[in-house]
Amino acid sequence: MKKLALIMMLMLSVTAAVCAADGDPVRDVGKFQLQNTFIGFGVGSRHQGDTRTANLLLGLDITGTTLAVSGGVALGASIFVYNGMRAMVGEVTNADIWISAGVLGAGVVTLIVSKILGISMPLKY
Amino acid sequence: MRRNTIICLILAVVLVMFSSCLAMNEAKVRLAESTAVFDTEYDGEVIRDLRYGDAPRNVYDLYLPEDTAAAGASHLILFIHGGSWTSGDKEDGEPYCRNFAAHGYVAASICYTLKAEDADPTILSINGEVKEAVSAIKDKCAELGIGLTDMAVSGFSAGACQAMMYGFTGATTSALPVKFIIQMSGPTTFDPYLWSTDEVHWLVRKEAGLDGTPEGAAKWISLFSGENVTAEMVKSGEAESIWKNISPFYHITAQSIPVLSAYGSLDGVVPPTSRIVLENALEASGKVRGQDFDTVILKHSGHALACDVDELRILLAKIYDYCDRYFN
Repeated sequence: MKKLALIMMLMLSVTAAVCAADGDPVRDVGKFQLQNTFIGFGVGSRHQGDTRTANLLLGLDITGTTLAVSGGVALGASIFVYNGMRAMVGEVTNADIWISAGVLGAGVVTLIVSKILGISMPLKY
Repeated sequence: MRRNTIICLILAVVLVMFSSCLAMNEAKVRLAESTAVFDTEYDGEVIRDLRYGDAPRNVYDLYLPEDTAAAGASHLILFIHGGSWTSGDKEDGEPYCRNFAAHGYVAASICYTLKAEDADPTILSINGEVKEAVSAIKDKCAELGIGLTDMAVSGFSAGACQAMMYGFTGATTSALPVKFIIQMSGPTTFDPYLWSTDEVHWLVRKEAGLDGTPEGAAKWISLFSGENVTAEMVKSGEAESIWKNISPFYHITAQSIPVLSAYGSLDGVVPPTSRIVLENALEASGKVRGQDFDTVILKHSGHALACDVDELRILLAKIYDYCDRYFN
């Protein structure tokens, strides 16, 4: 928990520092990339003026986050129920676990794609 | 974009709502299939809600065979329900009792006092209730013109523990001599450290306060024995005689009656070691496997013995084999 809080603080401070820097075109691209990476939802591309990429990243981040969070919650619930059912009833299907893990995985992959695009697209615009 | 977001949110809600539904549905199907093993055509009379004592839950249902004048009708098979001593009902025994009665035996399923805010029964006090129930059933049957001569005691989970306690401690002092025990998923020992292992599902351990500490062990022993056991008594070993006294295995002697057991290999409610404790105690007292005791192991089943229909059929066949062998 402490580690997570420290990472979040570090990310916020880096983002704040980047947001504060202005004027240099190279540093600006770096700023947009960092904003796309850490703030997400296409904020960097929107600041850059690349609305098309900003909208794409917004969609990808919303989709990825939703899938990852719901997949994670469902995975936790599935594991909990599966363990209980196994203890009480016996061998039951673990398909729920695989489906939830798949949704979680799809969310993570979507977020990774979004971050890759968030770094590469500001260079092309 | 907006449509994407809405679709994702709907997917998320649906996924969380229905997560684990496949496992739960399969569990329901397995439970229904395993109960169906005991389903049989039975047209005998069932007399419900008969009383055997003054306590609110001192009631039982009596299942009479179709031919009450036949030889089998002189033998009683008593069923004691499970439910961790906190839940369960005599109706839980209906599939078993209908099957027993369909095979010509008198069957009865009893309720007993459960642990609640206003009641704190112990293993031994419930044993007393079972004794009262047997007397009442014998008298009721006499009233109906059925002369019971002996009985078998059966049960599931907590009820199986009570069945063993009754069979091992009161086989000869019972109003009807107990000839054998049929126990399914029954705890045979209250050794707190055995129950504190990972063999038992963490929720069961948490509910029971079993955390591997002497304090947890003291709470556990007090819960079932009704005695005020302290952590110091656990540390000094003084509590050992208390938990042993409420453990069925501890009452096994050379004179103990035969036991037919069934356990699920995946049981996470009662530690699987319970079976080994029972078998070791039986062998130590000179009992022979296949002759004085049998255990049917359901490899794919948990506590409810729900995932091995073929093994359940074997158990059922063994029950009637025991009836043929041990009822006079």
